[in-house]
Amino acid sequence: MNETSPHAQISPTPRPDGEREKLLEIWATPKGWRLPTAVNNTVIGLLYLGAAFVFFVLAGILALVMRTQLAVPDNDLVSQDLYNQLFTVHGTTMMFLFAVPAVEALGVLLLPQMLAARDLPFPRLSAFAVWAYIVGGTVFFSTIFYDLAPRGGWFMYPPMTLTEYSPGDAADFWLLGIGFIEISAIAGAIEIIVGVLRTRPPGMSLDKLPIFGWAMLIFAGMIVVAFPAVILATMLLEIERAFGWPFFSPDGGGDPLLWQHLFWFFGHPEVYIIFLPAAGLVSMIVPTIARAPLVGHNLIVVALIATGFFSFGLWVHHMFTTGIPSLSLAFFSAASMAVAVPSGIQIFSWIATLASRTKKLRLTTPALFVLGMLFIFTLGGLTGVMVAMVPFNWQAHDTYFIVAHLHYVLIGGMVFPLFATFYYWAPMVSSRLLSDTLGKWTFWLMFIGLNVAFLPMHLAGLLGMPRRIWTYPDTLPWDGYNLVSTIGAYMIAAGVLVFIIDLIRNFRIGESSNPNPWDAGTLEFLPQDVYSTRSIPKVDSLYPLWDRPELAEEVEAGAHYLPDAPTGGRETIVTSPISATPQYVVQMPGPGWMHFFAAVFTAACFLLLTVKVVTPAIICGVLAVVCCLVWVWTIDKGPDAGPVEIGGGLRLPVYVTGPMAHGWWAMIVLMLVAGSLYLAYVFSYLYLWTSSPEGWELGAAMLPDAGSPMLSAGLFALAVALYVLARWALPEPGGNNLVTPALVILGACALTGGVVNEVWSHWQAGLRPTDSSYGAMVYMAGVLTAQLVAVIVIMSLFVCVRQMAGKIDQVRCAGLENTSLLVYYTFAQALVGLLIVHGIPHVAAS
Amino acid sequence: MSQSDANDRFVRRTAVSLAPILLWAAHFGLVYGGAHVACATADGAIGEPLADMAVWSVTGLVVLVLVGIGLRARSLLSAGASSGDTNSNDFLVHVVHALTLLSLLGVIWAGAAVNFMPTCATR
Ligand code: HEM
Ligand SMILES: [Cu+2]
Repeated sequence: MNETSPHAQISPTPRPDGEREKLLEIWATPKGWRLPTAVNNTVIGLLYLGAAFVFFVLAGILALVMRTQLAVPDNDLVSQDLYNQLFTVHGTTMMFLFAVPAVEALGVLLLPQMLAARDLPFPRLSAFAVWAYIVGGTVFFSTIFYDLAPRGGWFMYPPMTLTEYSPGDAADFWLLGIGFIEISAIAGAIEIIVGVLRTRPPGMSLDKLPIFGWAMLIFAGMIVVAFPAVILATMLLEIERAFGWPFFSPDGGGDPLLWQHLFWFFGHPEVYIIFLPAAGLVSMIVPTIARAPLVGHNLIVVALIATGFFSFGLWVHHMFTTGIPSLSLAFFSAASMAVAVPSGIQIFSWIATLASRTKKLRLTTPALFVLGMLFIFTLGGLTGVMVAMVPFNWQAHDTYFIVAHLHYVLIGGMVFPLFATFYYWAPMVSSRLLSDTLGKWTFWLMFIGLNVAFLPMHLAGLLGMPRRIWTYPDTLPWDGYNLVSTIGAYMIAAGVLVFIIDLIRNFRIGESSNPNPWDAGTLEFLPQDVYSTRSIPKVDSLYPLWDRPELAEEVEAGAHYLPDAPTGGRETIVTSPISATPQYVVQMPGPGWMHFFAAVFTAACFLLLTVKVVTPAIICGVLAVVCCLVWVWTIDKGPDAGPVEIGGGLRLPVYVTGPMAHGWWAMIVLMLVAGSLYLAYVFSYLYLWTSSPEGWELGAAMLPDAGSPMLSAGLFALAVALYVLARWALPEPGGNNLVTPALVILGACALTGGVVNEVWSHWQAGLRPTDSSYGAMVYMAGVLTAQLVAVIVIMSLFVCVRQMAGKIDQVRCAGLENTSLLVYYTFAQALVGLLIVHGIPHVAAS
Repeated sequence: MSQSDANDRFVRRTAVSLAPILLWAAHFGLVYGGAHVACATADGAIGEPLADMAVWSVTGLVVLVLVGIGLRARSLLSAGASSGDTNSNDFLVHVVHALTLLSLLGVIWAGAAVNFMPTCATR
């Protein structure tokens, strides 16, 4: 070890005997039939990634069936009805079951290693998200085998998807299945945000955060804002299908365009949600293959942030042909082109980095995939700028030009970086590298195949071939292009097959003898074991392994932070969000069954609801809640094990509450999710008002008088006061009293009363949700608040039980604190709701 | 050390860092929402010039504020900040500057449209 190094003294070496063994034991992965209980991020991440890859292959097979059908004119391999199911399931699976989960999986797998954290802050939450996704996704995909798959395309536009035109359960599978998988994506996003902001290694201030960390942070932030819009949309459509509340059918004052607005407010950012992490991966790989630091690191960060924001100003470009005023179209067209600027910044920075290299470029497989990505994504970006121009868009809309464009962007922007990732980061989890020879075969087959498959589609599209047709007559000049496309599709498939062979031959889970084969500069290439790194390094540059070659040895010798397990369980260091100053040591849960069962029961509940077997669905729902409660029961471990030494003379607490606690941050993010959902609702309310003002004019006459909303508001305010008091009334540690439980129960009752009063008063006044879009919207406000109140009631009961078990007191109060945060949020949301529901109709009538 | 210092004054510094792009978002929402409402409610003769005026003035205002933020980025970010963390402060100043430029581009690009397009017509 380098004796002069300023970091060598953080923890004294040599470390005592048995320390590593203890770490190994604490972090051991459960084996055999207990594997589902595992929560280590590497295990969960691999499972997640593996599942996403399986869905990629499955959806790819559907694509091959489609391409085979389209190879020659007048083909009858599949029927029109089956073809409709094929493209719907292909598109949906690729977007929701492959692309988003795959990048989220990479976050779970790579982030803790890049941040040298022992795990993500909520290990069981990510495990829950993964299992929920696997169960839900599998059921959704298998509908294609039973003729039960939806036919509405991946964006499921009403009126096509209303009961009238899509009877049966097929559309419901999409709505409930996808809505449910989105919830799992949100759980993952919360984990990632808190992980990136709070579990960085000491010294890794924001300016030293690797680009992938930035990309995932922005990715997760975008999920928080975008996904609620589509969750609301699926809720509205499902409610309309099940109970006939007219949100989308014009007969009752609804508007099918509302769906398009909500869907694309999610759907366009979705494209960047997929692309940003992939771009982040490229920004990690490029410096390594160039052996030079990323040119314009700060600019790339800015480009990622700007892309994240700009991408929310684009959604109407999917609706250019729906008759929106020209000026509005121009705004969206401008944003669609402005978003190309940050993407351009990234591409130029990568090229500049590659050009700045001093050694010869090694064309390894990851390098090839990165270069291929640059080429393909740039082409897709160019056709993107073309379709962002309104007049061209009117020509190309719903033709194969769009199919070509979207595949160039998605495959170039996401699939190629993903394959680069497979090859580049394999040594982190596999004891062997993947084969470079097979890798090159994979690359060339996929690269050539992609261009052969999708380049001709541009031309077929310009010749007028519409998308989503199951066959075409031979009198049209499309057959040559289609045959070539099909050949290309099979070449891509061959490439993927070669990759699978490579996986089977070379991928072996385990520790690699050479953890840093590419000579990379970032922390995930430190020596690793189940506990991540032996000690948590102090970081003082962007490429710590390049700037301090001795770091790997020091970390492995245990010379940095937290070389041991002072609390005796799983733990990692929590640092401050900007400067990464160590704040406390978080105690984390280990393996368990409950999050697994909770995921299974939640999935079962949703799926049983889909096929309308209500009682078993309710039973599963209750079981899911019970499992969740048992799971969280053990999470709050209290302050007893601390404070502890982590090295460098730092003594940190092991339990904090308030704005410093990671749980508090997670609650705040959850509230942002709820806020986005509610904003999407407010938008929908105002939108339907402008599209059918008559309903609102009539509605004004049906409003209950002002006393009723006042009463509700008063009850909500009372609840807030009761929860504040409950916090004050908590006993000293060791003590016990029943004041807090009593106040909490009263508070929950006040909230419930507030919602019931509001809904009941409209019912009394004669308003029915099925009458008009106005009525539906009024009751929807109640539904959205009621679901929060239901969560609060459950959490409050939980708090009461814990208090009686002596597990809540003045110090150990995270459970109550989190419940109160949700109460405050609900109060705010309910007030906004009351103002809108009781205010707007008066404005409308006057 | 107060809680907000312990958390690096996260909320304030994030808000300042993201202010340019949040302004872009606000501008976008205002001009889109404003034009939509103006065209949906007022009749063409009053609605159009009104909407045009609104778009121009909102754009001008936002451009001014953006320039102001860009110029004062450092003092806005470090007001009352604990010393010692100059790295992340310098970094955040960079972020604000570059985001300001990108946001200016976005705002002007969108606002300029009103000079070329009919306001309420659909074609
Ligand atoms: C691997 C090779 C792939 C091939 C050969 C392929 C082929 C196809 C075909 C033939 C269609 C139907 C076109 C139509 O009838 O309108 C389609 C649609 C689609 N594909 Fe792919 N695809 C591939 C990969 C992907 C990937 C990786 C993604 C996303 C990450 C993706 C997303 C979509 C979407 C969103 C649609 C639109 C579905 C709809 O119209 O609702 N595809 N693809
Ligand atoms: Cu788009």
